[in-house]
Amino acid sequence: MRRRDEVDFTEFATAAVRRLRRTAYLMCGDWHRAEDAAQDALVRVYKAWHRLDHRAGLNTYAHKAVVSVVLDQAKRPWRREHVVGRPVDQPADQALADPAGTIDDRLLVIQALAELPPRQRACVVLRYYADLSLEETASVLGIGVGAVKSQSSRGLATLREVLDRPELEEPVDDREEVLS
Amino acid sequence: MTTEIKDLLAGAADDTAQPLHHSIDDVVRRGRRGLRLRRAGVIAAGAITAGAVVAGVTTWSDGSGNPLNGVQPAGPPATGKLLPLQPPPSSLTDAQIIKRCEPQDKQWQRGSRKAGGGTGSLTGWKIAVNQAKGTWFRAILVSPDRKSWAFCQDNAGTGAPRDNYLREDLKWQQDFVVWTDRDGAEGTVPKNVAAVDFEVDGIVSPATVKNGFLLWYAELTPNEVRDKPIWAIYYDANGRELARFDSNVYNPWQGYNADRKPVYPE
Repeated sequence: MRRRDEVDFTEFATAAVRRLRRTAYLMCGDWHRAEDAAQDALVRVYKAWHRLDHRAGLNTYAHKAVVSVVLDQAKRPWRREHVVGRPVDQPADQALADPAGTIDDRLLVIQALAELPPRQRACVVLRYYADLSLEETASVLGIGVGAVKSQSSRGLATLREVLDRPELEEPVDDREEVLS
Repeated sequence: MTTEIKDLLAGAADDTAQPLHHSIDDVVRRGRRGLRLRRAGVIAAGAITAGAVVAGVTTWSDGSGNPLNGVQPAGPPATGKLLPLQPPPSSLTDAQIIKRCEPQDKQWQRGSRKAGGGTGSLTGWKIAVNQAKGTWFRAILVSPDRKSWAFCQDNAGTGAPRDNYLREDLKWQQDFVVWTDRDGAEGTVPKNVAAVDFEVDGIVSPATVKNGFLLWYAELTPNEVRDKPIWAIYYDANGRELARFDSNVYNPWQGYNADRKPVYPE
């Protein structure tokens, strides 16, 4: 890669890494795996840099890579991986200091996401967290726009049910998406 | 409403308390290395093809007119990837290693995957084998009754290899079966095994074998070893191969390999 390209890539990666990691975290529920996935995804972007559309395709490709890495991770027999809730050197009182229960709520969302099938989870995360369009989500997952609509709709419904957040008012745009 | 779900997702993904452990420079380095390996692979493939043609003409045909009289050209050679030398044992005492492993052991016991490793502290456990380099060490610990073992990887610094821990009942270990991930492999070896080599892309790297266990350290990028075997080759004291096992968890990349069996020489 030429020096100029590498500077451009570094700029892109610096801006994207945390967002990709957060997307991966919502997909897998483990910050360590999420960081690995974001890194692996960015390495893929680096290798494909010269053939990507830098105006429109970078974000979609990076998300495609990170989702692919997370789904691959889930298929592997990682018998040794052990989810550690907090760094072992972090004082316990610091980890437990959460009077407002915010961390509990976050974990509930992660647990609820984990109950969704991988494809539905990916649709929900990409549509409602990463703010990708229907077309971009379809491109990332390699499925049709109709499948994205139905998977997102089912995923949302399950999420609401698990989180006990009934839908108060169905938004017009969502209804149109599902029915179209 | 979807805005409520969006807010919940954004809140759940809040990473303000989760600093990044790797820099973008690490990504760039890995990317450069990947491109170099890819180019080396293309060059090697070209060289193999050219070599095979020459060898096929000069050796395979043997000039006698009978194509079967010659010697079959060798299989595909290495891509040039270098495996790291196995690190020496730690300068820490056994007690110091066990003390460093205790926090991870407590975490493990709080988790759901106990795998029969037993409860209780690591008091009285012995270090069967260990390796160390820089700020990290990896060690295999054995319980006093020799029924349980633990693998402990501890890095006091940042970056790879990361902390990793496993504690299991030894009865779950199968002879001649060991799995390799990005940091290498660890496991038991049968009593009649004197040495274990790991072979990647035709390059051989001997594991550290001691007290019935093995440790093999590697710095593997999953993409580089996907869909290819990483052979763990077990030898007896006479250098005779007893068995080999494809230890690569990334082979196949998107497949199922839990039923993989060791291959025994005929």
